[in-house]
Amino acid sequence: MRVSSNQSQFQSFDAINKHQQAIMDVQEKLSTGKRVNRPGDDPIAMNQIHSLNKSINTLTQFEKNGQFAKSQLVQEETAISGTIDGIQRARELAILMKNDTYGANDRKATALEIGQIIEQVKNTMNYTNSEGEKLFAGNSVNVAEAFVPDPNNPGYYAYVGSTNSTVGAATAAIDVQANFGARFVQIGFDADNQLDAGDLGDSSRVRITDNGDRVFKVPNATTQFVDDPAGTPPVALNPQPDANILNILVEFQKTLQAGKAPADNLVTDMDKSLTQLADIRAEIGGRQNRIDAQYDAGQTFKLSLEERKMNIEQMDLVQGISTLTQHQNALQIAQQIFSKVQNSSLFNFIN
Amino acid sequence: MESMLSNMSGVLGETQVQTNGQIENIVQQVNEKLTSIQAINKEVANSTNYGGQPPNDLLDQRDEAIKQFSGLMDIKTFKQPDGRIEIYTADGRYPLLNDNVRTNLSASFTDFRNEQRMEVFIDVSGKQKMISDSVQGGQLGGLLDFRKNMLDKSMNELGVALNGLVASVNWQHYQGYDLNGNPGQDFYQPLSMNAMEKATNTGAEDGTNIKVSFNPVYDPSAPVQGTNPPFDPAAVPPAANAQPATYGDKQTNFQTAMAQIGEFKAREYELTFSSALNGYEVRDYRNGEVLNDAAGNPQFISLGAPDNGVKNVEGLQFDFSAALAPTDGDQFIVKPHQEILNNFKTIIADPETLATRGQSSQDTNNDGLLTDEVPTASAYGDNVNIANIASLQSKKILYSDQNGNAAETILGGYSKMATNVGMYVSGTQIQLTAQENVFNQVNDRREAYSGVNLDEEAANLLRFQQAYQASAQIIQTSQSLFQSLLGAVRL
Repeated sequence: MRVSSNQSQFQSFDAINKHQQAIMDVQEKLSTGKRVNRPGDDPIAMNQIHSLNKSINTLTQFEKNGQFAKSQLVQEETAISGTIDGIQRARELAILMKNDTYGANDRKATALEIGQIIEQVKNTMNYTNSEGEKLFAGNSVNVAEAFVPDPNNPGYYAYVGSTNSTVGAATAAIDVQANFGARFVQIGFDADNQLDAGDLGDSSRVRITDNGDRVFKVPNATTQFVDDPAGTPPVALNPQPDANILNILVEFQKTLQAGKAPADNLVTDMDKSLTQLADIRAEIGGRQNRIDAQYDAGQTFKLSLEERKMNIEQMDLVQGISTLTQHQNALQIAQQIFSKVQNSSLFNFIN
Repeated sequence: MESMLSNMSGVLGETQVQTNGQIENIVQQVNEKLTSIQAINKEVANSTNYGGQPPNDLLDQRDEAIKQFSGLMDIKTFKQPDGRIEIYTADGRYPLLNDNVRTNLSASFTDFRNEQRMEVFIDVSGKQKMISDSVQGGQLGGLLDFRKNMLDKSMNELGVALNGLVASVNWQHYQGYDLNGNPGQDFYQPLSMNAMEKATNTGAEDGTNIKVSFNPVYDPSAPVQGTNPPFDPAAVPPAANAQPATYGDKQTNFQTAMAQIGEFKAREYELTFSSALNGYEVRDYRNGEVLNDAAGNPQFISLGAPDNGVKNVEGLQFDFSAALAPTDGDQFIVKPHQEILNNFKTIIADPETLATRGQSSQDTNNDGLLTDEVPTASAYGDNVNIANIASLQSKKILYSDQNGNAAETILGGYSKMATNVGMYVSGTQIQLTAQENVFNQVNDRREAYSGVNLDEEAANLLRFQQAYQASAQIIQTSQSLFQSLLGAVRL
């Protein structure tokens, strides 16, 4: 077969072109550090990179969510700890005042201190976070007060979700929605990507507000709220105020003001409330631990995702540099061959 | 995101316009080349008729012109006994130069004028015939292939992802309540578009009264209360835009909507009116195939019962109820997934109207179920609905299989498009390499026939030089012989 001179020129040029192209390619990959710069480089990898990016970004968001939730929970925890301290002091005073060595005047003086404790506890129960949202009003974070003065029983307090918050036992509460606490923050992947109505939540989320009624209620309270502890006999209030710790303290104060020794019921109810609050505090601590655990799991997960993404997307520098050198050499050789071949012509020998 | 998308759809739209322009240019070049080949053909025929030497220069010129021509589009050539060459499209169906009569190509918009889509036409016995499908190679073929397999496909696939986003976010938004306790309104501008008519239609309907939208649970025969969000907080049942009777109904409607989103296909629709059946046939505009429903029956939208001119096809509602009278064979096209690229807009502006709250947790009849409750807003601080909107990003909602299980998330829908673009590009690259190899092979063979090896020529030159020298030597020898002979007999 005849090899035309054009052909050899064409071939040499083709080879040079190919090597230049390859060098350009490696150059781009090395300078961006990425093996996949556009979908055409590796379509399948592109798809994987997209999903990996999404998972990594989602995990980062979960981390931020977790931090936010944690700051909320710390506030809640602080509020509850403050309440516990107040109740502890009130309980000590109650046990002290049960002694008959204290007279009516002593008790009246103590009532003043209890008044201060009531103020403090009421304040923490109506605690507002930095965004102006009530911590203990369930979903109704925008209410003015989570615990409002009881209109039926002056001096006592009622939860906004309780029927006691409005006049008459039959009328609906100020805000029934406050009885639900469905404020959740997502801290992990959700299996069905669906949060249902109702305040049950699901395992991928952590609750950040609580229903104040549930937190501050005294479970199985035995105290009977009466109109006047000094009365003979005292008449039970109807309807009875909410059996929350604040009202127990109010009742205690009223008893002391009447110069009477506090009944055993009051002390046991304070005990019950302390147990309840300690439980709630433990639960909040549990939620914080869950956030931490989820954070750790997320970090591990993210690390492996990042690693996988790197394997798919990043350029192996060593390999890239050696490929670059390889192509550079090939290009030089092709260029040299080109000039060599072009020079070798019979015509050079004729003259 | 809106600006990114409008940028993206801008680029795609611009590419479409560019493609149109390029097609027009190439067709013009094709016609010029045809004219020059025709002229040469005439000369060739003349000189062949008068006998004598073949007109080599002209033949070379014509070969070069044909070579350039085939770079524009793929053709077939036939040599005639009188030396003329006939040119056909590569599939042999349409003559471009027959009996030295030129059939000009023209580039013009399709019969669907508003589509703004340039196609290649040929004048066959006075009728314009579209031959874009017959052009497979050359610059023109490449351009048409790019548009069909890359541009259209990407736009439709991106559109499906976007339509999925718009519809799912909107519907999840309808499920919730805003800060004022009102039901959620449109979050994004919902899909709502008209059809494009064909220029040859004779009926009164021009397509503008044919509505295509996403309206998954509307029943044309009996408007049911609460099937038609966005809900009007003031509407009273049984108004269609009042909230459904129970929360359970609302949830069921939402599930239906999500299932319909899964039915979206990256497709363009062609609607053909049949007066015999009094309704519209639904075809795939690209390949003309009749679409089938889930049961395998052809999709058909009847103007009378049972559809009354409104039907959901592949997740989209086609509404002819306001359309004017068409005549038999009238055609319309709809490109819902390209439309959304141009009309993607966030409507919601006021944070107050963002429906973050979900259904109230209150169980009024204490039966442990919320599904039988009247739809009511949850408390101010509730975030169930916004959490669910956020969850949509991880939810598989696009491209359902036959059992209704969705296969892709919205991002997955985008990835699918990106992957397809990548596949097209890398496929083209592989093809390029293969074609280059074939080209080299063919080029080598051509060069072997008609190319020149300078060494060979130099060798030949030497050979002839030597022969020349030898001949000269012989002349010199014979002359000296002659001289000596003359000298010998000199008297």
